[in-house]
Amino acid sequence: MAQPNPFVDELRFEQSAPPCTVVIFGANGDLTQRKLLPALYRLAYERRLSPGFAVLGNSRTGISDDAFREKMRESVSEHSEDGPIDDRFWSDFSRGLFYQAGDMSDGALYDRLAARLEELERSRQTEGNVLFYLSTQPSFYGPVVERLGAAGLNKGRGWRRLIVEKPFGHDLSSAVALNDTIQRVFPEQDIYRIDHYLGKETVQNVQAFRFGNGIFEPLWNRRYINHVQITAAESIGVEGRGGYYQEAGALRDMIQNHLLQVMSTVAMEPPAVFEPAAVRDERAKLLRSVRVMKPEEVHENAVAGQYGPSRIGGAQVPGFRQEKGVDPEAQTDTYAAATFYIDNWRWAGVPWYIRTGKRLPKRVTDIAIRFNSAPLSLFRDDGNLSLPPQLQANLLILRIQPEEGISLRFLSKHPGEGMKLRPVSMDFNYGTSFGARSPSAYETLLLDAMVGDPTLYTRQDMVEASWKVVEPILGVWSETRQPFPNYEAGSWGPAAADEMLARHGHEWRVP
Amino acid sequence: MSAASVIQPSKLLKELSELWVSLGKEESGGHGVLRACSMTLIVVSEAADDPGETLAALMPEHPARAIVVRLDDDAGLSARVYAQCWMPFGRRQQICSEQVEIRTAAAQLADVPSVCLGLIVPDLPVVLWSRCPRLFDLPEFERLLPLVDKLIVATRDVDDLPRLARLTGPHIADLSWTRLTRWRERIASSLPPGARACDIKRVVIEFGGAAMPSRAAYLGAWLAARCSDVRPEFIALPDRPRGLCAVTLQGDGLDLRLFAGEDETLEVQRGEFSARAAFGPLNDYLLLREELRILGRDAVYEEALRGVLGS
Repeated sequence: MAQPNPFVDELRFEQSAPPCTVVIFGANGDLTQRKLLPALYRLAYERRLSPGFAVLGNSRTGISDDAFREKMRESVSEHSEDGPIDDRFWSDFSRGLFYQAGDMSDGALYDRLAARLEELERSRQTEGNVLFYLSTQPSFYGPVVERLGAAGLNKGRGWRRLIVEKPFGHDLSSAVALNDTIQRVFPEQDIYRIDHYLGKETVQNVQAFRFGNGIFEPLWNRRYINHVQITAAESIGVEGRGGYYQEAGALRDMIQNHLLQVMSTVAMEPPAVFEPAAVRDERAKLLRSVRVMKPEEVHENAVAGQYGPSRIGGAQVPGFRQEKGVDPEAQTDTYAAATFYIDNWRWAGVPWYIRTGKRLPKRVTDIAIRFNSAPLSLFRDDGNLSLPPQLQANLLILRIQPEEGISLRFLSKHPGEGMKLRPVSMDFNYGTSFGARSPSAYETLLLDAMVGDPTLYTRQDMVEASWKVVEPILGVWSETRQPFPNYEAGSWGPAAADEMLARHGHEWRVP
Repeated sequence: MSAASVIQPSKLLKELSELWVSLGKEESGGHGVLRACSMTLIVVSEAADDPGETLAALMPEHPARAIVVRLDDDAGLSARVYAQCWMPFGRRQQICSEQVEIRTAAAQLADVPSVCLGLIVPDLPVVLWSRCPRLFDLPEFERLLPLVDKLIVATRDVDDLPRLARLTGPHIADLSWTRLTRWRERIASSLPPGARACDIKRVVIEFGGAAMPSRAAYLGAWLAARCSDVRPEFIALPDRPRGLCAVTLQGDGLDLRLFAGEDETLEVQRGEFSARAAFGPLNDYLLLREELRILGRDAVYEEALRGVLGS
């Protein structure tokens, strides 16, 4: 084990990456341009990268290092959320950007990459550390990793790590097969399966909120919590990704990975220590405790939806089947909702309602924890019957985006005569209390991978556990002719989703 | 607004309360104003030295009730309250934090701690930032210390450090030490992998000006504490502007040199490899921003201070 650097001052120094080269497969792609390069530039700007740092981009297009730098400069200018590029700083940063053209399926490319990496190790003093980032189409994941192994690039003088973007498989068996391929080349501890939701500051804050405070955790169980609603709504449609989305659908695209991971963060047991293995063990344990539906339970506990055409704010909005590249008879779910149960002592009997969809009324992601109502309504006789039951219960809302923060709703006496109660909200707003900018999810996750901290990355057993949870639903839906479209663009989803909650005496809140 | 030779904290608190009501009424967007406070920040400055700009920059990240004590030997004791508001980008609601300005002659400074005591926000940390070098010499200064959890000062030369070490009570921060963070970070990240502190056999620190700045002394002590067999060598460069110019670390297979370049850059040379990091100017806002994040004990700083005084 490496000795800790005696010059590091943990109180003051921000965590920073050791020297390394980041090799990006798919360097001309959207993800690289929108997220990865802006994140790396920002990390460098914040002094989080070592002087010995380099990026080696790869794609098929034959361009020079300088042309790649110019292209990346345009991307960072366009997609950086932190104002204009600092020209002087960019000139230093861009000296570390390099490009190697080549076809990923061509074995000769990997020999050229090996030569470039050796050269960078010397000229940039990267110490042989390499982080490979698969930002390609998922079908290339396995072949690229096999070729990295065949060229011996999985081993070197320094560490070698691999980041794999989602989707990690399209079902359980393909996830297992992909994992087998990757693990033949990289050991599990060097595989970083990225789920950018876990990198969001506010998702990480869920752990701080739960385990850093003494007053919430005692209430965090079936005795006090009535049910939980997790909502991830998007107001946009498929935005030119119709072809991809048609094959994926909302359940695969959002619930199998992001939202089950969020759920595991909210519901997991406290780890013994805040270390990667301990945190991931608890998260995995939770996912394994989610009850797997029997096929005959799916219709009662899961709802698929697809948006149809509508007018929103005076503009005509196409339905999913009218989107470019989409089959006019597509049976794709652009909305998915499910009721999950966690079979452990803490959560037995508490429904966890998860929903996600496109073309919903607004972009919002939040977790609403509804507590049980007071055992006696002492003030019932004084006008409070006008308050609907869903407004009487305490509600804790963890807002992931866009207005990141935490709200607690409770009842308060309305000023004036009599004991008339009204719900009021006590708000903690991330932006208000911490005016400093928050790092983007990709900044957090890229830095973690370079530092070698996999806490916020998904482990294979978590991937498999979450596929096991959604597979029965996928199976039943694939055999069912759905009455699509079943919700209008701009609405909160199909009526069947409301009915699913009504069967339990609950209703969706409007975020 | 109140202007009198007697200041009543309760009256100021009432004025603050009325201020919030009026801010709520003034706000026309229908979203109200949001009050934010994470600490009490007491700032002592000379009458001509206005910390307002720095405080305005700090408030979004460290919202505080700021009590600004301005030493004005031509003035009697007086106070006023006002709010510092900002509209976060992309939001509709103004956020405000409150400020109290107290003007006093140095001779009346003894009256100020009791006023501050009544104005401190309960249950939150209290930080005292002295922008005024003569405060150290005033007997009333020590009466302020029991009120605060952290004292922030800015020393200039190594000769200023002994009296800093004699202070008791709050945690102490020196902005001359804060200025070193960039240098220390760069040293830590520029050492080759596996390099051990004991491999460093020689440390040379070059500084501009005739008198040794406290920054150079701190850096020497910090390095000496990590490389136990090394006594740093200091080289004065009287023709260069005051400040830290360069540091060289040499040892078995190690030759690392960091030096301040033009335009706030810090250059690293290690063998044939060189890299340059561009930094913006270090102003009071950036220094305070770093210090206000640390409200507890800073053991590394304390060790460096002890090191300077022990050497």
